[in-house]
Amino acid sequence: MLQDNHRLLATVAVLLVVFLGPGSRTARCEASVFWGGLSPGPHLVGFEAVEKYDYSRTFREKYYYDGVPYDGERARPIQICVWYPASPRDDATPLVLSEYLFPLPEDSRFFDILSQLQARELGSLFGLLGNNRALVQDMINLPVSAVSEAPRLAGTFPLVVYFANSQTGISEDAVLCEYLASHGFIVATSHSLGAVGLTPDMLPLDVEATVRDRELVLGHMRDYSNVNPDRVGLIGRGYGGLGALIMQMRNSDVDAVAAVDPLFTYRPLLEFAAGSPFYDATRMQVPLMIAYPSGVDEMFDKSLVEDLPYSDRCFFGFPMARRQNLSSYGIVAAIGLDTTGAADISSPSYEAFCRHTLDFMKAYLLDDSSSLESLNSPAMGAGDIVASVLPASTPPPTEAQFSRLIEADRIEKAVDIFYQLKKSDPDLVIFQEATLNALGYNLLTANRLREAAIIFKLNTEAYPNSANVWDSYADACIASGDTQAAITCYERVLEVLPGDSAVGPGIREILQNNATQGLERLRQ
Amino acid sequence: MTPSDSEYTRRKFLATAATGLVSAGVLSLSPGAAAAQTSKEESSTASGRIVHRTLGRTGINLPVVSMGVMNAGNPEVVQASFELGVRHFDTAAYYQFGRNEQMVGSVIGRLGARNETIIGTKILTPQQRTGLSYEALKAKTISSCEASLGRLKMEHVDILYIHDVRDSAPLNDPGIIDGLTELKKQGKVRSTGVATHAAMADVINGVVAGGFFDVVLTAINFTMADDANLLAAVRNAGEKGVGIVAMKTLAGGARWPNPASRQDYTSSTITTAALKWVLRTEGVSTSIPGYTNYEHMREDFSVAYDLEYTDEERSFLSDNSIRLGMGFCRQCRSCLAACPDKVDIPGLMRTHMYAAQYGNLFEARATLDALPAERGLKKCIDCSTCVARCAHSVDIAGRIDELKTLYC
Repeated sequence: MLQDNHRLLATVAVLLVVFLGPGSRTARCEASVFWGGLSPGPHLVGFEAVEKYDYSRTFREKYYYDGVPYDGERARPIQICVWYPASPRDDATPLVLSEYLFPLPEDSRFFDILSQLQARELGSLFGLLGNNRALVQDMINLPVSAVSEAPRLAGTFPLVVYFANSQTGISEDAVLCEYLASHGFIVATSHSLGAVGLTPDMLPLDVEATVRDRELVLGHMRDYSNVNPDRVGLIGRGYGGLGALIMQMRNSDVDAVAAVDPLFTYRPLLEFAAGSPFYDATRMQVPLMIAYPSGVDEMFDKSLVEDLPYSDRCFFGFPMARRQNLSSYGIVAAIGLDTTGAADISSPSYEAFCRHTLDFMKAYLLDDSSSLESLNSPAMGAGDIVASVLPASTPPPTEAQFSRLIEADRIEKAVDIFYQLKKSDPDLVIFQEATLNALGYNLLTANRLREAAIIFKLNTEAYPNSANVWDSYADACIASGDTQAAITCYERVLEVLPGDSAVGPGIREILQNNATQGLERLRQ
Repeated sequence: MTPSDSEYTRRKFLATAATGLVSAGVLSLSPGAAAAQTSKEESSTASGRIVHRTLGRTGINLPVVSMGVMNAGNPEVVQASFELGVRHFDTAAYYQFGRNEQMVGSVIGRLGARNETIIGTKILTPQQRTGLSYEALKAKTISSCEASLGRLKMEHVDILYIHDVRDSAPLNDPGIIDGLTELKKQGKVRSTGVATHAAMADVINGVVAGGFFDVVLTAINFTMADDANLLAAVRNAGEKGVGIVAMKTLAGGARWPNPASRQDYTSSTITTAALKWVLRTEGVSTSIPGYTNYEHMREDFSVAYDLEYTDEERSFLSDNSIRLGMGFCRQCRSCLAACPDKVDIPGLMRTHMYAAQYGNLFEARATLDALPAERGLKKCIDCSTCVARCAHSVDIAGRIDELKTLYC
């Protein structure tokens, strides 16, 4: 068995030498052996790593437990790894897999933490390859598709921020990241770190730490001149899937999220996922792709995703015997452990997953209609791939969104949206009475009388049995000189006040007196 | 450097050697010391100049103390070594799964010191090179070297070793030879070598006889002072133009927390005495002590300025009980026959060395995992009485008990 495996790897090595030539140098992206049948896009793929400390968060305590001060760097270490479309060059040499396991840091202070992360990922590779060190050594010598020190390609490209799983490294999805970069995306990530420990655990604090790390990545990448900051996608795997979802929920720059075998479709962890302090289903308002290994276990559960009503959701179940096959690890294991000696080692389901992800990102980050069409076509569910779609409902505006429409002098549009929503669902509570009331008074104070009157009127239609909203509307009518309308409002106050149980005794008296005195004054 | 540059004269060496010859310890067991230190490649001083030697037919002139980077995890130590005067850095694809090569390459690149340094690396462990066809092995030799060059970010390496050679088979394997020849033609490799820490004398003699390889990186230290075959092989190799680089030079003793074996000698005395012993062995060109911090770096490199023993060092080396107490496993495999369960005792001793002496628990775990299950530590669990004995006083049973505590 051992010798068979080595023969296979040797065959792969021979093929690489034959096809690429010794010391192969490439001007465009070459599909590495890990790509199987995937076709690279038009761009050479560069890879680089940058180190930053997040001084707003500490990763190491100031003192050891015994009180001795820690004299090293305590800030949170973030290494940002980037795959990007690169300028063609004749002397570009591919990296080897080991350089993904240990992306060489410029900052030598990162050596220690990156060494620990390398050991963590090596643990995964040893597991995949039967604890066979020679196989692991051979595997990490194989070239990947990215090259180092390649200049960035001119132009602007959408950004994809990648969230790795909790215990694995960037090589787990390296093929996908390279593939997207070859097709014109800039893919950036950081390593999965716990809040204070090496590996994130099932703790809200750890999820939050991983999200903030990727938010820092997003912030860093905006400084790249060839990143289009208005087109941002997220990809998250497993634990990272939850991080990607939560990041979108608090970052409206994100245009699409792809979650791969995400934690929030694993039944035992649904409560944990939805229990995150920052989880807000109503804020998930961009397309969501769920890729999962079909037939692997019975714990797959769509219910949490079904409760994301404002997202266009598509599910793709890829048939595979093992969960790892939905990642680059699947092909690593196939190369390492397959004893058939086949020259065309491939993983059709994984390749299909990569193509689907590319179509998804092209559809929503590049507005590529053919990709969208392709994504929605029955062919996407062809073969053994299981496909289904849950369309999004139109989300109501938030108070802030509604206010900003008015601030932007588009109050008619805001009101129109309000009526449309009420028409489609008369029982829908779009805003609380007090919210609209406060908005109206803000406008009134700003001397925007017309807009204030419109908002107060809207509130009377939403809450016609509230004495207070009629009283407020009356204020706006008086301010704008519409005496007759103000009289009608006060009359309504007196009409609905007896039945308005929300009003306490003190306020009731004020409203009563205000309306009575107002009518006397206005009728004079 | 001309002989006139050297104050480390033939007369001094002869005097030193004479002292050794009358002692009872290892000093007397290094017969070629005097000749080695007066070879025409020698250029040294005892007053602040670094002793240099030429590495056999490669023509590479090196300080006698180089850096074995294997266990180092701090690039600043590599940089400080260069600044101190170290010019030869030894790494391997196997070490830290490529990270070691990346670190060396990045430091040398950052310093812009590629033309001032000699980089040695190693490829193809026994498990990686076993059972391959000619074509496959040739291709793998080439691709492994290229992978190393990629991690080093270098156009060439000065010495490319075949890693962990234990017998003569790899020395004559046409796949390896042709692969290395191709790499030399392409300018990616300047010199070729083999690294060995088992059956070293046979391997060295095989290299000399084969005539292909330029350098041997061999385990050698003062605990092997009675190994006449090894010493003769090293001397002969030196005479035939094969460069000898010494590793395992400290026998694990200097920095191994084992007070019983040290008796009253300081770590510094053990270190410098051990290094000097190796460097005074005829045929040895340079050594690669595997230090990992600044203190050990300075301690090791101090030897490069003066190879003459102090009284304390001479006393240490003269005591045979210390040598035996060090319990250095030279991987001679003579213990194998004694174990009824055919446990891979040398493999377990290497595991112990990585864990207890190097403090490299990751390497220890990987070494342990690489042993075949039917010959690994688990076979020792139910065995209460270890009958294996070491001809060189290694406490096999004690070390296996310690490994059980760690891993079972």
